[in-house]
Amino acid sequence: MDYQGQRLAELIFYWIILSFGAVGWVIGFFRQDFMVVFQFWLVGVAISVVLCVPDWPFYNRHPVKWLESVPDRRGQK
Amino acid sequence: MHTVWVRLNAVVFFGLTVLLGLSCLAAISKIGHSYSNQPVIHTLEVRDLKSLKSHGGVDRALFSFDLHADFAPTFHWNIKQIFVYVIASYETEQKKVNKVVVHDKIIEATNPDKVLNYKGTFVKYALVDQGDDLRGKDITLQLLWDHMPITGLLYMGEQPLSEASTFTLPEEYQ
Repeated sequence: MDYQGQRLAELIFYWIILSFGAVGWVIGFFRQDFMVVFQFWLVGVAISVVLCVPDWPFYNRHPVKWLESVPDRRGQK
Repeated sequence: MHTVWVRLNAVVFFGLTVLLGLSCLAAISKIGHSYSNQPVIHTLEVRDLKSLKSHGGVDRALFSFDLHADFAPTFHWNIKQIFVYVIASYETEQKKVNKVVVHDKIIEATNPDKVLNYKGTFVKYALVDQGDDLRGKDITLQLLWDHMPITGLLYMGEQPLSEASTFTLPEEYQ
């Protein structure tokens, strides 16, 4: 996973867990059932684990470009 | 974030932090609820004295009682259960404050029937004195309850003593 991919992964799980939690809390509040909040939160975490933990190909679109290796002086001789 | 384990750690612990925040919000939503939503207590009074005996120098009274109370108003989405108990209190020469739990009941939030309706129910725990001072005493029965929330603070409520009922035990053992 490259640097851009790491940033993307972090943003993805951040927003997924936060939005599932927030939506779940509001629905749970109006249905008067805390279990709803917990289930929404659990689904958010599960989706985040699947999306953000494995090294999916779309996290590797910006590979780090290394400089050409410096030739060995002694080897040139 | 460069290995699988670091990412798994980040996702799980960020998730737990969010769950903590949601729990705090649920606790905040209950502030003031327990105080302003009291149960409706119709009756709590003694029905029949079964016995008042001395057991090895210690007085023990057994009786049955009537209780009709509706706890439905006290429930909230952040309450797991309510622990209801009946206290018998009396005063003796040596000890001014005596409180004995004679009955208790747990009402769970999942139970649809939140009305306690006892008619002539026998006490769960006997009224036992520390000495032999129960004869002729005035016993006050009072209903108390604890709100047990899913998250947040415990709340303990009680029936006002002015609404509690009192009965007198006989002067002789029976």
